Amino acid sequence: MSGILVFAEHNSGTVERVTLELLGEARRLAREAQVEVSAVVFGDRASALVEPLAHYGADVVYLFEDERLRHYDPGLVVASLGRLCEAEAPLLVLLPATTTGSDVAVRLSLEHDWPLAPRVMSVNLREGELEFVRPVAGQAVHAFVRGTSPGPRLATVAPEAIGVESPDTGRSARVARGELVVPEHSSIEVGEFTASDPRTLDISEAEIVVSAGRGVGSKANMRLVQELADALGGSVGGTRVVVDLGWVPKERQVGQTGKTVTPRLYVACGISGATQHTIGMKEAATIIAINTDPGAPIFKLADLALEADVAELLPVLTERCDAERRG
Amino acid sequence: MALRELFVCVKQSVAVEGAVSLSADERLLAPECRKWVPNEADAFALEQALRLREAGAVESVTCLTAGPVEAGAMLALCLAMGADRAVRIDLPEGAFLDGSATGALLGAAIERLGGRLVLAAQRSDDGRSGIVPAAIARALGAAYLSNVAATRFDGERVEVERKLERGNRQVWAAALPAVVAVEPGTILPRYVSVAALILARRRPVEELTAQSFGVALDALPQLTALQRLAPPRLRPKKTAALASGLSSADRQKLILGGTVGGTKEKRVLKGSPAELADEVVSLLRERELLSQEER
Repeated sequence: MSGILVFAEHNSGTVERVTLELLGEARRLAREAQVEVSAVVFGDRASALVEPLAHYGADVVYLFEDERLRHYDPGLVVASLGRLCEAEAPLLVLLPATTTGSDVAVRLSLEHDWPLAPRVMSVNLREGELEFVRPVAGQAVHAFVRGTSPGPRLATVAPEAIGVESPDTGRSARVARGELVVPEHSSIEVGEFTASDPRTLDISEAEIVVSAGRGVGSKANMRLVQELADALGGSVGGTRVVVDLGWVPKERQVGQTGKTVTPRLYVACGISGATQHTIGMKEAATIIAINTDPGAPIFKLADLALEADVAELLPVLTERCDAERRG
Repeated sequence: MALRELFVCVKQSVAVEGAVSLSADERLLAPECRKWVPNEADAFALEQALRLREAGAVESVTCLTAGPVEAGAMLALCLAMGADRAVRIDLPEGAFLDGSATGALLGAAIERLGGRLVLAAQRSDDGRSGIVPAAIARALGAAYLSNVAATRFDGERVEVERKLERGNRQVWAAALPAVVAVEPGTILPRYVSVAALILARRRPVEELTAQSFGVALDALPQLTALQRLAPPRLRPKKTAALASGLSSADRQKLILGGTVGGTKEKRVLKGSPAELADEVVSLLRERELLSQEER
């Protein structure tokens, strides 16, 4: 094959966005090198992923579907992926620079002495050789790196570094079922997995944050904020003002004297957008702001700016999101 | 029984001060723009190590680094934080070791010093590659436990809590030898006073050379090679005149990047709650922010 292999990460049956980014990058390189793109999935319910992976660029999907893959087990995944790479000899294996992706990449690289370029910004094909560009010294300098040992090149890519290309829903992929390789000896005992509860999760780890400002109106209205957070699967945060008022606990304060958050979605409810607050949330990927004052500075940061009263809008919005969530 | 000696691998990281300038072969930062700074990620690993010592699970904590004389500053900081012993493996300036080679070197040194439990930062502040801890584990034939938020150790077996995305946690356990890679930001490192730092600078740092434990630097397993460094490309300015009414941050963006995203007049939507909710839902759908409930 000597194509490009993408390690498809997913969250219990839904393809992670970063996987789609990797497929786009793989497609671009595959066109240049005139090779195929394949994707490999490990999981207990992996078959549902074939279609989206094909739409975003996979020509072949290798499926490793097994009950034992419900949660990441480095022994099983690295041994099976290693066997697949030895058989298929891909030119390049792209993995997401997430916790699991990075862990797989490092173990695979060191087990087989295959070169790994972590957290790359781009991959270029120069004179038939792959060259990786990665930021170093606090992103101030770019390093151009090449693999020196033989074998597939491995690279991890940070989420949101590339962006997702639009899908082609007409595409389909060949499916190949892989057989799980169980290593004879594994030095690690994989124990219990604990899923987080958004209500108790530290907001700096939350993917979705619904934050309250004084514009929420009263402590009683905090219930509306919590309900929206529940409907979105997010965690509640707040400005210093509402923390001082006792509406939100101190450990959930966002801003200069609180925590810095970089969620995928930040919903600012009744927050005017003082610098002391925005310094802690302005890097959020998507910001939705709700405020009665059309001149509120928070609107300058927002992807969606809504002039509305929190107490009126939130119940309607929660109901809509709940309905969407239930499908 | 408590373990006699726990090793924490640390490093000085490199930051750029002022404009980027490079050496003639473009593989090193020129000394005038290079600044050595403590690798903050290491403080989290050292804090976990010190807490294991305070809990009586280990008797002493040794900090180990590989690098030129400048790297000694990081060891002084570790001694000030509470480490018992500091060791530096001398590396010549400009020795190009990739992550797998660095890990092999540190692993060989730890093996020679009799270490069986090693803590290190998951990734450094400057390179952020995350290869070294795994490579140390390979050199030691040890279990590699990654992304660790909390470590429990009873003298024989180490059990860790791993920090995963979305706030999830997973428990892994292994018998010694083991290498634990500590996720930065998961514990509050203790405060180091200036007085402690000044005192720590007078304490000795043991020095080793790679030859002293039978390692030839050019025989270390290198998997990658650095071709060259380059400053990030700045896009040329597209506008000469600065628009008035921009904030200072936006003005800076305009000068550096030629454009300012998001300064165009933002449309603030008005309407009934139902209409606005529709707008929100369509944005959430478009950006795949609405998760379906598991069936």
